[in-house]
Amino acid sequence: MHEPTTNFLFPNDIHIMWSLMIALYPYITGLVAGAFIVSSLYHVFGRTELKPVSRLAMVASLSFLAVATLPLLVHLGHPERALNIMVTPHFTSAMSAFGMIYGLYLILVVVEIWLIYRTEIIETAARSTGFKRWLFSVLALGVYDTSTPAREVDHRVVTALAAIGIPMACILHGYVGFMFGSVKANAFWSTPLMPIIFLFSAVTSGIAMILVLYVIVTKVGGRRIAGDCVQSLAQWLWLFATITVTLELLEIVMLSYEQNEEWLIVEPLITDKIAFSFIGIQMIFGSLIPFILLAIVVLMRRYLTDTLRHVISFVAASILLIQVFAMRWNVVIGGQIFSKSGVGFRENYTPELGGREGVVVALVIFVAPFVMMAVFNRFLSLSPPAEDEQPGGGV
Amino acid sequence: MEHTKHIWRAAILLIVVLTGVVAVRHFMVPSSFGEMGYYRGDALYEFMDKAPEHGSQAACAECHDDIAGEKAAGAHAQVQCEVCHGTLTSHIRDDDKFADMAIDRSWRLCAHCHRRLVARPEGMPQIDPAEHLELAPGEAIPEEACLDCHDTIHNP
Amino acid sequence: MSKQKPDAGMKRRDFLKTATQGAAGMALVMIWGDLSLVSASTVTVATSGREGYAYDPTKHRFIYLIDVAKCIGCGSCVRACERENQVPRHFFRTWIERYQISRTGRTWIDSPDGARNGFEPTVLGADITKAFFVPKLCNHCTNTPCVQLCPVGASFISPDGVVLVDEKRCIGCSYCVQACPYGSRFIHPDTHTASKCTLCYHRVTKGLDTACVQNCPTEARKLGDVKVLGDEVAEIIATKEVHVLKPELHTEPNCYYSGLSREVR
Repeated sequence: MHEPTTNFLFPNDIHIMWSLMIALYPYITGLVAGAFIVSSLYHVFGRTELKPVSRLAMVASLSFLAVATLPLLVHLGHPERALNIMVTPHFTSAMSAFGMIYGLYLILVVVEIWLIYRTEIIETAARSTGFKRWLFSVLALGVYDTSTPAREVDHRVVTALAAIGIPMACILHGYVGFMFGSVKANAFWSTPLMPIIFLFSAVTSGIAMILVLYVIVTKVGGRRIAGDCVQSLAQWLWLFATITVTLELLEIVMLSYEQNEEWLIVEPLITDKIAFSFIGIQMIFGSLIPFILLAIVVLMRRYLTDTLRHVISFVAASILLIQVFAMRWNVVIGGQIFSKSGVGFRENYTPELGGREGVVVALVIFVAPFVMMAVFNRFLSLSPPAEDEQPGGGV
Repeated sequence: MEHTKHIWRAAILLIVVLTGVVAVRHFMVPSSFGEMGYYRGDALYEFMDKAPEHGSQAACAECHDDIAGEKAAGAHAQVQCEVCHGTLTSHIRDDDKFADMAIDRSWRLCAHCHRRLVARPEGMPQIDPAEHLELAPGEAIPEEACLDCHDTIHNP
Repeated sequence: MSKQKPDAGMKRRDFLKTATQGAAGMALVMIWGDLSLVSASTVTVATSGREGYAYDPTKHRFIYLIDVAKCIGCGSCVRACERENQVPRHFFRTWIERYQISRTGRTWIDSPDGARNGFEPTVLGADITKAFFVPKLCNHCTNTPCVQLCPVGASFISPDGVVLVDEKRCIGCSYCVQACPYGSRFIHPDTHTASKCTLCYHRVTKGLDTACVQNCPTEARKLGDVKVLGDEVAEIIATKEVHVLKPELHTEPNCYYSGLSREVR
């Protein structure tokens, strides 16, 4: 007979350490990885229907990458010592991987974007004057070769980078999942599935983000939405979202079936303490509804008009963006509101509004990449050039 | 290879930047890092250099040998003076007294050890204050109740 | 578009080639040198202490023993630790838990403010058949997850087995706090770095006991050194029944308990 134990927290466990910022960070790196994968689907796997979003996806990846360190810096007790992670990285720690991986991946994305836009950069340098001319000449590295063989070289290097970038993007986000999954002290985090869940969830969020952005950017620009592109994105989104949710549920089902000690604290956690955000938002609203919507789009394509398909895809993608954030929140915060004693809960965490790790700062960090993309678009268009069908074409 | 000039320039730029980063990083590692393990060796010695706050019964006996003798003969012999009176460094600095030792006469201090609790081992002398003082229900416990009777507290 | 003279181009290219090779070579040497540092990781490499210090950390190995039956839950250890180490309020380097268990196995656990001011009687409405106090502190594990997970080499194990945090290196990421299965760590509200029991390193390296051991009125806590011949605590651990907390996690704590009942978390 198992009698209950009173609610007891270890005295140091009454404080929550990882806040809204730490839920935001994996969300952002997830978008980075996911957007990159979308772009690589075109560059590496030849999904030509995704060409309309290939540049948008790359620039989105870079923009989110640019702000990815901010939630971490804002959270650290000593942000001025943040470089210690690169100076004396302790390689037994998954977190130490951050320095190298972020740096190398940043270089890869910057180089790939540079190669993709090199022709436009040279053209802009040629027709500008003054400071802008100087800036774009520097960006062209003083080489103005836009001949077909040169562009062919660019194309091949981009393909190589896009291919190398896939495992790198996976590691960039996978290490975060590994960071949580390898903490044996935490009953909710510790599982070998965690890196996979994070990764698939990241790709889901990336595809969803690109779909949403593409529809918005195209509509605002007054252009026609490429139906094949949206359809392809919706299909990939359905696939990745389904796998993601299957894995998320599998973890819970396994714990429940095995009836091990972790379940004693995880069960009240997900059915009571975070029931609304886990069952309500993450599972029912965030997973079930998009699953149905995307099933309609994918399986009942011929019965729907273009507009209807686009609207349903857009709605499903938007909901999935919320689902992925809810998943990050539930993992990070949910994993901290019970004590290591395994028999106690503290009160639920509500983030502060202002303050260093508050909602306002989170919103600013999240909105910044969109602003960056808008600025980028003013100089170099996010839409690919009109089809000119040169052999070895544009990238 | 033809038409790869821009690739070479980019590659060289990258190598220069990366080399710079590696070089700068190398000089940022603290000098004692790795001396004894993957940490700053100085840190270990910084811990060692900190001065203790608590003394010992022998340190107290240097000046208060009469009390020390009295205490050593009684039931509180095992209890450090500093448990009830605070740390040596709150009283002595550079071998000289700079402040009075704290003397807490409240019953709460005694209750820390002697209040009856179910979880306390049987052999431990413990009382229920209200019962022990024969207080009426709801009557407050007088602040210095214990010392009223147990006035030779060092040798109770 | 290229207007460069062939000769100048060649010379420049040769120079760049040489410079790049030289730089790459230098970088490789630096990386190699630093990687050998990196391989040290959690395993200490020291074979002797520093010159000029009387205490040699490589000649000691501390262990700790708690006798649950002797603990009276007075909280003297918690207060002593707070005074010795300037521990901030509502954060704990050591604390005491009280377990009260009824005949049917229902368990009440509490630790009011870490038992800084001891405990008060509770009315539980059940027949309590088993009750005891369990002092807790950092276990200074040999296979510790907290040092493994520290990203910057701020958390480390000394050669004498004490797990410490370099406050000048710690970036305050809290990963170690998440990693500790025993809840021993916290982030100091003033220094914003990880903080925990240091086994009073500044005392034990001077031949003194830790503040908690010294101030315990019932000798429930004991400090030992396995490298000292005839050490009392080492003898008990080698010959009598002792337990550790959460042995299934394989952290190999160096803090042992005698008389640990199954209800202890």
